Amino acid sequence: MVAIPFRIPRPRLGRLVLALLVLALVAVSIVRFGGYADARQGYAVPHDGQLEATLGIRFTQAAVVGDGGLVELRYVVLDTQKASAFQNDTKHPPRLRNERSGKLAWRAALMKQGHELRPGQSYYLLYLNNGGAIKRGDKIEITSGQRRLAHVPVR
Amino acid sequence: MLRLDRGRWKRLSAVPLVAAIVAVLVVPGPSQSAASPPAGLECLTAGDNAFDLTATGGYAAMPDGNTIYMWSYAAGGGAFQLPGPTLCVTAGVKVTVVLHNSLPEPTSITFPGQVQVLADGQPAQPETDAAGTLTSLTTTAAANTGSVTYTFTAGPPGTYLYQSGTDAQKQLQMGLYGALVVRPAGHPERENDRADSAFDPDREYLYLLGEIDPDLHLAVERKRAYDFTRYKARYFTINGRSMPDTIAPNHADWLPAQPYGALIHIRPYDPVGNPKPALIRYLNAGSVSYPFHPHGSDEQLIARDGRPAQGPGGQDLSYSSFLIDVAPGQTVDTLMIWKDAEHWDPQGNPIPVPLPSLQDQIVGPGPETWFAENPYLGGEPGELPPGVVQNNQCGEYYHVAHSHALEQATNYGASFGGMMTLIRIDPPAGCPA
Repeated sequence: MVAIPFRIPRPRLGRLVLALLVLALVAVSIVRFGGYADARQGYAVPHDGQLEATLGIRFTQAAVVGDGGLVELRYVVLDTQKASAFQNDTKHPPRLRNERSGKLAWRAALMKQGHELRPGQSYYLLYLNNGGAIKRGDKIEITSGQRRLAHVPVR
Repeated sequence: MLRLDRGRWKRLSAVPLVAAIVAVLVVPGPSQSAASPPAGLECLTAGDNAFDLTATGGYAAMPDGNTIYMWSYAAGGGAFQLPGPTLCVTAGVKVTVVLHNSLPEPTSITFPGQVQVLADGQPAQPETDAAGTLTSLTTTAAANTGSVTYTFTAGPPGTYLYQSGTDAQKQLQMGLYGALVVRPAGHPERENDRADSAFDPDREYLYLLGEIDPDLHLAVERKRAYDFTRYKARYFTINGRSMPDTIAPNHADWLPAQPYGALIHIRPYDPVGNPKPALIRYLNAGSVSYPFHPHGSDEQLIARDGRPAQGPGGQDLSYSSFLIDVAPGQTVDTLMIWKDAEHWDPQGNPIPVPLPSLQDQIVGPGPETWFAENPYLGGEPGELPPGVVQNNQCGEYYHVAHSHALEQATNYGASFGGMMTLIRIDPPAGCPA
């Protein structure tokens, strides 16, 4: 076989085009996927020791359920007394803010009061997913009182 | 050897870069690719109606954080799942189920409601030990590596359990059960041969009810004895899940061994746009009755144990009920529609009770907050707090459905949980994604 000579008339322009293409690939990848959490592999919720010490709970999962209409927030009890106060404060449930879109889910739809909370046991809140504010793969910020927990991935 | 000059290399390297950029733009993002499959019954079918099931052990996750060692059936050498796969066949066909046993003791499958079941070509037979004590209701597969092939002709259309017949008190409790759906020949859109059992095939649901005593499961896992006089179920499941996992999608990431959700998702009845009801198949694989209460909607009971509710002359004996009481080992099939009976309309037929103003409502969680600030399904929201444009996804409505033996609606005593799920009704025009 014979090598076919090929010459770019302006070699510097060719290098520039390649560099721009690489940059474009990186940029579209970030824009396309950067705002999403990995919903399947290695799911982990960030920990905040101060938040946990204040509320007596650790958030362990945020998930879109109810065919997209509800958001479940699950937590495990660390300190029974503080967790009871958190759970019984039904007028001030945590707010969920979509970090990608800024949309909020704020209205808890199902929250049982009066549990005898057991340390190490998990409980949950359900939120109405206002206007589809939160979608699977998003990351949310959970605000409870003065405490915030950012970059919580949504399954 | 082909030699390329530097210019050609550059040109060629540009091609995959452009292709990669296009691919990144075209390939769906995680929210699409990881989108939940539709809720509802998921059938395992086979062209020759031959199924391979492996009795094996695995772990089920409970919503309170507990993890329970279970036994159940894996399909075709696949992964453990609870309950076993839902087998779907047509009435009158020859069905083959090959049971492979990887458990440390003999096990078997019985098919209640199916007759003349053969095991390895011979009539399936009860088994006894040397002392003559019954050990199995049917032919077993030996421990660890045994197998047995069951064959039968699928009986009348309806819903049936398949379950272990060996040391049934223990093995059934351990999770060795699944659902067998027999469809009418020529009419897969009906529950049975009656024309009035027609349902919407996209709205077919499975409620396979069960229970778990974690102490028994721990004893089996640790190969210790268990005193059945101390049996006490602490978890109550629909399709192997407890609330709130019951409303998670089928094949949710965090429930790898419990693939079947139990959310019902429908739209209001409409004689033109949505004329067919949903079908709900109830099965009780537990030890006590589960008085299941669909709450906001009565259901029409049309069949029990694979037999239609009809008289000797074929007269319709189905009936509407707010309580579907499913006894152990029993199956019940119901049709369900959600009807706008009073035709409330904000202009022409407004609800004659003034709604409380927003400040008079408890703005926060509680039973009242299933409310979208609009009592009309899919209507425009009423008064909302500043900055809030919608209280739910699209004006849809939810109500719970659960066992009315309220201890069965708990996760180890904590409500809301256990044998509970939601029924979601979207506005007549549907809910935009």
